[in-house]
Amino acid sequence: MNPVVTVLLLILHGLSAVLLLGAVTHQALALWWPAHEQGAAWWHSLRAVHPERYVRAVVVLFGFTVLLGTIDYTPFRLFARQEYLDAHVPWATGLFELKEHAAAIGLALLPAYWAVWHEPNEAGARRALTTFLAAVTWWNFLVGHVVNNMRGL
Amino acid sequence: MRGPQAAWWGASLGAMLAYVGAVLLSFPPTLLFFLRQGNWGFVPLSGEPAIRWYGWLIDIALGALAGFVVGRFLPRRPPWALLWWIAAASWLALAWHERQWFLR
Repeated sequence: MNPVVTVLLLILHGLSAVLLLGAVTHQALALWWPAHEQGAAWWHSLRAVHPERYVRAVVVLFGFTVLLGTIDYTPFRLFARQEYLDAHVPWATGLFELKEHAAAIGLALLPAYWAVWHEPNEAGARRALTTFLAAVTWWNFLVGHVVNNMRGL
Repeated sequence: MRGPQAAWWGASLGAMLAYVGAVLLSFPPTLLFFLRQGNWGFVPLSGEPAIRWYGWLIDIALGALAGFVVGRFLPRRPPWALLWWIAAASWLALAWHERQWFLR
């Protein structure tokens, strides 16, 4: 793959992850700590969202982010992991493997996440699955940055 | 609740079982991409590095499809919380599987 395209895809992968991070974090905060009264503080505004409106965005962004990462996976294996990470910083490879597994479990949970937001009276399940997806997103975002700082594309 | 909700429940369970099975037990079989040759195959070649991620994604999709179909025939939808516990246990098992990277 053309190196310029690889880097462009990596940047898009990061931007998509930022959007996903914002959407799922707003949603999780609104679920756990909804803002009941009017308030002008930024912390209040952060929670004063309609969490059900984020469902489609989270599903699409999660899938899109994984897709972009998947396209960039071959150059990552060739030029980052095989040439440097495995030999010099194996723990970074380990973190990346855990990132992969978290992304896969998150993908697998998307059908249930979608359904639970379309079923009434399932507040507990909505919290559980949304929080899991938020945790996966944060974990993958942070690990992605750490590994990319070790040896980027 | 029978019907679509149970089918989505089944899709998530099927996808998780297929992925964890493929990673930990090599079942279902995973399609491999051989980096240097640019070929695909199911049988590992000695000395040839291979990417399993693409095959795992196919396993997830097929597992979700199978789970969706089976889920439609469940008499009632199992609890959503069960999926959360299975997801958490799966990730912990996969993390344990990768421990060798942190022990070198």
